[in-house]
Amino acid sequence: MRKTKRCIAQFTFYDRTGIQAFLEKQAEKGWLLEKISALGWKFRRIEPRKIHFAVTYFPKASVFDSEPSEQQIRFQEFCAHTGWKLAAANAQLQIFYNEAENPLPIETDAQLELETIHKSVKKGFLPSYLLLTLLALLHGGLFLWRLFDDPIGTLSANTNLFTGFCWVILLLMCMMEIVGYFLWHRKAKAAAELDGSFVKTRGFRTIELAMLWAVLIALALLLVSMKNSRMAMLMVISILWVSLIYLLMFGVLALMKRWKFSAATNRTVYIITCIVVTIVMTTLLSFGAFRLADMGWLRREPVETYTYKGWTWNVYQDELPLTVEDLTGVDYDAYSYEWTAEESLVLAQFEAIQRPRMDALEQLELSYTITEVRLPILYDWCEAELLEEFQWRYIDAEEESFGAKEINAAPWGADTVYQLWLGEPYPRYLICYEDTIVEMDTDWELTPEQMAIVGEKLSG
Amino acid sequence: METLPRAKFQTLTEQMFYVLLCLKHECYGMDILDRVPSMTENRVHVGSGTLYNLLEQFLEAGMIRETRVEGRRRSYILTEKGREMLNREYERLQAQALDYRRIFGEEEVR
Repeated sequence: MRKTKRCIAQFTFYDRTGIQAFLEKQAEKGWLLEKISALGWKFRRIEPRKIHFAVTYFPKASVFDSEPSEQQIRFQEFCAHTGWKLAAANAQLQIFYNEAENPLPIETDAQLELETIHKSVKKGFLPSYLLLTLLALLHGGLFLWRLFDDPIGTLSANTNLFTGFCWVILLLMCMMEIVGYFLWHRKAKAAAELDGSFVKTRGFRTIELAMLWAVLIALALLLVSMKNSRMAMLMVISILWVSLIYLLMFGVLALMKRWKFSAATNRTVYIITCIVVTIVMTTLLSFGAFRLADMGWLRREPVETYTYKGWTWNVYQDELPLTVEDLTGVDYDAYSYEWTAEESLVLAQFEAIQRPRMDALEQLELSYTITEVRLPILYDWCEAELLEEFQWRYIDAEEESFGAKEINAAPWGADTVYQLWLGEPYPRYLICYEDTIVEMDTDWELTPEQMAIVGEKLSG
Repeated sequence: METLPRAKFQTLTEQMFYVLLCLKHECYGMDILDRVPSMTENRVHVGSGTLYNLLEQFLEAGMIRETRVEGRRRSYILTEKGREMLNREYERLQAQALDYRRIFGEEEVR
């Protein structure tokens, strides 16, 4: 039978009601809180029994203290005098337990207790959450900027959706904590002044645990959905790397505390370590990732390569939904068929390139990009974006004969079709089907029969 | 319901009152935890956290002063300012008691 256990308690800092109830339940199950650290809450096994817990706050304590100050020990001695033993402490949070049947509470004045909580909250909880809010807003803003700059590229990658989701979750969590605290504090202050009662705190443990699980499930789905296993491996390495940064920072602080340095020294060293470790480790990670990408580690292996005029060319033999052969029945057997896919829950973008060898450029070439809109609400946005991209070079052209012109969509079996005009029709098309938009480049002007084949093969 | 915040130490809570009362004579902080219940026949108790914070605040407001420091043990005594506040509270309570007697005492006469 194990003698200790650890758990991530995920309690709101000021949720003294929730923490007390949780710890009392744990004691009834035979577990007594022993230590709180960056690695979670540590419990030791005891005889299951009813124990009272009191969560109090000591505003002068700091997370950087190597050991409790004289004042803090005096405070703990006061508590011990009324039967309250210290179970664990972390920064301002002090948790005591008392085995008496009906012990006198540590706090008997709601107004004073509220003042103490507020001072502690202003020292640790609020600045941390405000900083996190700023970080979430900054990254959320960057995500929005990327979304409006390149909506299709951004939305067709699950990694982008995942990071966007994480920043939204973080922002919601911060807002919930900050707004929740001020609403509770206002109510508690009024009640304490009115009749001296203490308004029970209500944390967001269930919601936050649900959010944490949602992020973990989303991460698992992201890793499973990654078709490139090396990319998935790189992602896992990045996550482990970030965890290592976290462990290094807290490890340094724990070591400093063990060596009994002053709180001021610990704080200075911790801040410097955070900055240096973050810069060095992220630089190393980025450098490693770029190096791997440069070495072609993340690229797909071609089936063969050939050299033409000193350059190496890759040949792929992927299966394409539409080929030059489907359209023209051409007989040339040295084509490279390359298919790349970027898929997300809401959007997918597939790129097909059918290219002859460089020494046979007289052969027909075909390339197309299929944008599959999986979330219908995005369709109009994607169509507008693709149309703008389709004619971006000519969008401001004064001559009317330059740019995209709508042509008859009937032969394609499509809803709308645009063709690029550069003074005369050019064989580049933007074909809009019900939930798929195809941008196609051919070497030749398509016939109505060929348009029908395109519709049949690519309309989704 | 709109409530008005009580200005700091303009009036004293029951716990503040008895803590100050204990300090008419020099006393160790921790001993107050036992003195208040015995002084009030167990009617009033002061929690250890509440007492610690009250002593800090009384010291800061100049209502008490430290007399002795023996390791972590400290003893305190009421200052002139603390005595004035205690008197003011006593007079307020007395006025309240008089008002009560005036109202209910008259009824009893009838």
